[in-house]
Amino acid sequence: MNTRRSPPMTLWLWICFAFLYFPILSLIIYSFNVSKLVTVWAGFSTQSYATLWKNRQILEAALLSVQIGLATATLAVVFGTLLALCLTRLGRFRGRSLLGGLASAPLVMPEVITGLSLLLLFVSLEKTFGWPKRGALTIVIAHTTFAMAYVAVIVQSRLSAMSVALEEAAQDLGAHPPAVFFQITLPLIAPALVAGWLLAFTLSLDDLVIASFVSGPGASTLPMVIYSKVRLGLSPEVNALASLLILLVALGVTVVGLLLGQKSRDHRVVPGVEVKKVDGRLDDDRRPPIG
Amino acid sequence: MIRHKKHPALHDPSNIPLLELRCITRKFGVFPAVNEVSLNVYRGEIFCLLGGSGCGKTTLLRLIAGFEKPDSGKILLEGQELTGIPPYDRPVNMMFQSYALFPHMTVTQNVGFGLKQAGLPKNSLRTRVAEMLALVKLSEFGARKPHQLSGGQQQRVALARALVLQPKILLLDEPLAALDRKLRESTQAELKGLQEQLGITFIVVTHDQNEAMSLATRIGVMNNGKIQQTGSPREIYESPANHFVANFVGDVNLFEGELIEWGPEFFRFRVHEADCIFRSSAASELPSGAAASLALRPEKIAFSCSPMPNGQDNATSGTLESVTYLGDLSLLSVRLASGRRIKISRPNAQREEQDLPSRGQTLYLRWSADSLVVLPK
Amino acid sequence: MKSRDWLRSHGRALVIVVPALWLGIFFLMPFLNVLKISLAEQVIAQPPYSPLFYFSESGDWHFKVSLDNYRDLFNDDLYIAAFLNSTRIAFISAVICLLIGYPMAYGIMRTTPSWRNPLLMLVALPFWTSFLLRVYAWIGILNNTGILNNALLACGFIDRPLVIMKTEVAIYIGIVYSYLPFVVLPVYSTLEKMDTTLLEAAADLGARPFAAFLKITLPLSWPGILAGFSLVFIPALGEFVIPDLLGGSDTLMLGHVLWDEFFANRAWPIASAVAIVMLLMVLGLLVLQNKVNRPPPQA
Repeated sequence: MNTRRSPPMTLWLWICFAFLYFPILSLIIYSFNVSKLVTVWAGFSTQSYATLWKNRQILEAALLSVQIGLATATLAVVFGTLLALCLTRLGRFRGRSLLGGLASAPLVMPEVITGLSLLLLFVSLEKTFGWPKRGALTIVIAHTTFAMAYVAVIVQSRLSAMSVALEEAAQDLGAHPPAVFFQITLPLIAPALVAGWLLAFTLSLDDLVIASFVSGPGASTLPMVIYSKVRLGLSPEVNALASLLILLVALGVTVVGLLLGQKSRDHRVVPGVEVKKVDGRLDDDRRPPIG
Repeated sequence: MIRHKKHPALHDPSNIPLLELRCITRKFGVFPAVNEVSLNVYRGEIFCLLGGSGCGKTTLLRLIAGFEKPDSGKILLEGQELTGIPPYDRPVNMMFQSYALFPHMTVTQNVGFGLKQAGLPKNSLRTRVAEMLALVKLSEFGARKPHQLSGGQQQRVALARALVLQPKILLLDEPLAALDRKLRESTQAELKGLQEQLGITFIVVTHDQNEAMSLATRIGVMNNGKIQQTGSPREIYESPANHFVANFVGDVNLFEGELIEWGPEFFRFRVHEADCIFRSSAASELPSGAAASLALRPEKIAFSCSPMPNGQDNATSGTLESVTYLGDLSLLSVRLASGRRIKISRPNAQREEQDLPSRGQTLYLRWSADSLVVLPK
Repeated sequence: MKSRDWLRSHGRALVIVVPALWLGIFFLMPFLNVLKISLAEQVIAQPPYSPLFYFSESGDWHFKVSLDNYRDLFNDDLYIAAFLNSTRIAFISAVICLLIGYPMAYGIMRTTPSWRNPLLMLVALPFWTSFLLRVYAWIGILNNTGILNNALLACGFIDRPLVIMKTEVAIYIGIVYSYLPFVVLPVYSTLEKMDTTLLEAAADLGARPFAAFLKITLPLSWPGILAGFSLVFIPALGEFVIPDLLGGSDTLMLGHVLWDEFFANRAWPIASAVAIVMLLMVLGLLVLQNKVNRPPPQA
């Protein structure tokens, strides 16, 4: 019943995946076009890659974006993990629901609002304290703020899938809270941290709107440069750049997917044991520590 | 009341309790999961906390382990206050229902975890772990990860991990619940043997009365956050302290009666639903006419097909309604004239069916004055 | 023992305070700041808005709140049109996404189990590549001289290029394409969680597959549908890049208005007011979603 495949369904899946992947494929194909007209095929060439390589503006922006991405991803993983710990492991404290709201709000906030409000804050702060100067730093702060929410979501789901009994057992065996975190919790949520880091890095690398708001003169990220080029029309260089980025992402995703796939197989959260249900309810009077 | 031999630890005045709970209360919101519980556990005991879902037994265990803090009351271990001490500084260890084996560590690392936290030098750590693994017959499995072990092996790793620290008390939360029936029986025996060998006091939480009966030196029956009765398995079964315990542990027929007459060594109650007088050899003091519950275990009722003289104490008759064959036992349901049904059990001593009466037959029931338990209302 | 106690209680506090402080300063405070500026007046100064509190020359406190910006918003056709456009486009896009994404999630759920994860990964994969570049790809496809028109012309289906670029259709295509994964994934996860024996029970009780789908599957996947809807609707409401690159100049959307007011006109107070109104719409939707999603009280 549940795995019966019907031809129309299969056809629909094919159409949808074609819709998802055709544009990406077209970017790659036309990056090898001889013609400057981009969409009119005139023969194979790697000319656009050579031009891209000589374009200092794009290369510098790419370098800046990568730097911002590295800083953002690292900060976001630290803050996001702390946030996830707050929300899943620390029980009740004052302002918990406010913090929970604040943690998920950046996920749904339209970018223009986040960008505008952060810029206005930076302007006020700069006027009052003389800090922070707008540029790479403010972009990192802004990106960290929304990326940490994504990291928190990923880490939270991992934490809640992980039985609290493991941490309790470690405590029971004499491990102090920091030891519990570093010897038990951290190794077990490591895959989530890797995934969160990569997601934060990608989000940062990808963001145009927020960066445009909070950036200052002289700090142009890769999306900002691409955007200014794209507004003027199609450009073979952008196609070449896109192909390279896609290649990079495909490689990255494959490698990480293989790594995580292997990891999760021998790091199952509760190893092959199912807590038997007693009288139809799990356990007897055990409640979640938060509650 | 019938007095049974108590556990020796209870009567020896020089024996101070190893663990003492004084009026412990733990509330979740307004709901008290553990309600003013006082309890003593003595050295060398296997103490079983028995109760159904949500009775508070696991919360009580977690209070002793230090994962929950009592809202009021005190916990003392060897006379020392334990209440404010975090789990990692308490000399008690716990075996979790899910075993909570660290999935990213090998069996050896799991068992050595506590010793490593205690800062034991590498050499003695290795010896202690090896000894422990030998004790639970897992020496060849030291290099495996938990998920490469069977359920029974995982259970033994969890046990070894907690025992290697030589705790003053080992807390076991449903230690056998995740094992299948056959394995459970052999593991029960192993657990008992291990406890005797090491002399460590066990507190076991279980919902399974057979498990409690076969493991425990003493049982504490819990309901609604309170301990209803503590005592040896025999005391719990033969002299239940109240309605709940009588009903929860084993099968029972409960009757409502009123005291009509008493003298030395006898008490007579009128029971309308059985249309007879119940005569008991023991009861706590009751005023005349007082209502009481009378508990009668199904296996304590004798029956025959031949009529008996009317008007005797502890005798009545009814129609056999059904016979349920359970292998070792058969359960008979007899319907009295008042409509009340009585459960009777009898061992199937013969392989053949013919020794059992057939449905619709009139059965004459009798029981001894000793087998009745009078419960306060 | 004492220093350890200190560390224990304060270690816990530290774990809470660090992220809370960061979010407080860089997420909560900015919105209060925007709210403040939206109540100020436009002035020619640096920064270009009037203070809410100030000392007058006589030394008195003054407190001045102006709702002019909001009044302007609701009186100016430009803003009203932008609000209506944004809401309409976001709504229609979300519905199209659901119409495409729901069957897709359902189809993935019904394939052989070993195919499910790879297919889901294929759904999520485009998300990891640049959003901007994926939108850019559509320019090359939808242009008058683009791939689509070239192909259609070559096949002889049309004899003049279709004008899709710079129209609302292009915006819909862009939004649906970019946000489709956000519908497929939540819908899939609710479908996956569904107890399949429910369908077997329905079949056993005489429901034909389609009836079982309508009566069982669809109602039970409602949370996923709602989540998918708001995951498309909310970002689409403030979308800037897609209408800017694919849409025409006649289709104004909120994100665009906000951007222009801020960068081109330096009208910070009015841009802030636009942001606040958008924020309220988003919050309203989230509250609504929360209400609908709350599980019914357990018996």
